[in-house]
Amino acid sequence: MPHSGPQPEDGALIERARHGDHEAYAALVRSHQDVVFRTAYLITRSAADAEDVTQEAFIKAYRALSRFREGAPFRPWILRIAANEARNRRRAIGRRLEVSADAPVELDGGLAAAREPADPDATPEERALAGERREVLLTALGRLDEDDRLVIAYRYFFDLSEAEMAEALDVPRGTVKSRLSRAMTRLRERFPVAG
Amino acid sequence: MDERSMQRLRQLPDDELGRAVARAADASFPRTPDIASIVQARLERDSLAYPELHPRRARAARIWFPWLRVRRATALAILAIVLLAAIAAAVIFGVPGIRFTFVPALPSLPPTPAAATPAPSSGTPLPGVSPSAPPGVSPSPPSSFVPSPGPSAVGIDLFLGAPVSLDEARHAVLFPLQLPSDPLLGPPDQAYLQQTRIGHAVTLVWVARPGLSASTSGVAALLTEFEGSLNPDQFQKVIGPGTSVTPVLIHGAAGYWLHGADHFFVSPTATGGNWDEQRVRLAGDTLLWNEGSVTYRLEAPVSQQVAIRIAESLAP
Repeated sequence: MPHSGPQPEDGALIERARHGDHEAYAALVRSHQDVVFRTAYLITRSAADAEDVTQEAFIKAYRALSRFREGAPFRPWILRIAANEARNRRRAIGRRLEVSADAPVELDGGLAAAREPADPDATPEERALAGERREVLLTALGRLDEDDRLVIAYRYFFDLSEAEMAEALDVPRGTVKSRLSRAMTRLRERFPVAG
Repeated sequence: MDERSMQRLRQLPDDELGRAVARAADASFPRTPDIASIVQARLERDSLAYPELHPRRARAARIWFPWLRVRRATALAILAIVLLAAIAAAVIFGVPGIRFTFVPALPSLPPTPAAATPAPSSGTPLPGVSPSAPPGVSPSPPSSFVPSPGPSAVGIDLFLGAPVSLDEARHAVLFPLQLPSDPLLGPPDQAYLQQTRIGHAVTLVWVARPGLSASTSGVAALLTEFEGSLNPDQFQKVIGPGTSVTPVLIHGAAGYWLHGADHFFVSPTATGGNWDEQRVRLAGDTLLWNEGSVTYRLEAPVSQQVAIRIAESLAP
């Protein structure tokens, strides 16, 4: 899970980057690239597209650093840029995504299970149940529309605060809670049929 | 999962359910690539080629040098002249799709597997170009494709792509594939196809023959043909101080002769992402030119004159 929370060193790195320090900017990118890449992936559903989107988003952000409000958190700002970039990219390759619109979020396909650390104390039955549970949750997540997926990801995957979520989603702060709550309700409704 | 378990999952409070989804998703995202290094490399390149993109200079550049935004080619040409004179570090765009990067010294690379590959016997036809390529050979392997080549499939060690027949190569590309008719080379011994972000690149390979000796990789000559692009991210050459770049004319069109010390040739990954280290290899004397929308790259141990003669002998 990418770490979130306050990034006190961001301000200093941004200031150095504004003066053309590429290494400082690379350090800033490094501390946010996981979250940005994953956000791009949740929108484009393609690792290659998410990589391109993440790269472009950070380049665009660098070029816009002179407009970045001093003292503001960097993460919501870069997430907003990346999400816009990812939507543009997805529109450009829309046909590919329409095919998989109802599929579970394919998070690296079969490799995913292999990478998930198995509980050494779990019985085979428990492990099987955990696998099924995971499948149910990812299927439901994949069936959500993009706005719902993002609001859930920002809150639970990346631990963004309400204020940060509002900025990243570009919505009024007062609407964040209700958006999240509605997204969670729809997540439950999208569970696959038991079988 | 039975309905009861599903119901239990559904009844979890939002926070608990949200964290469960986060845990399920966490292990499943693709690994994040090293974006920071790529971004840093791009910024360093852009700061030479596009000084107006520096965040602090962006506004001033738009006010004082509006042409920088619309006439990058002109700006780059001027910049190239200035930097070539200084020859400390420069970025110029030569042939569309190729970027030359001059560096003070070349970092050393570990020896590639190609260095250990014995040279195939002279003139032996190799399976790569036989019309019946082995079944299952994918003309566009994914970037994770790790072939275990026989000693003859030298191109794989050089990251040229998947071995294909000439016919397969012709069908895969959108431009007419051209072959040199110069007698020094004769018909190619192997062909390789590589997916690039903008299409396919075909590389023809010649092994040693009279008048043409093979390098340690077992390859005597390489001719790569790909659709050129103004996107400079496609291919890159990193040139050290021992390499000279001479502008030349091929049938009246601009080209470049890269001569002297080895330089790096960086090819794009198949997924269309950025290059990875694996795909960086050392290249010898090289002629680069383009004709229409297609860029050609000939790498052979021949003189500049002979290279131009070969280039001018290309025919569909």
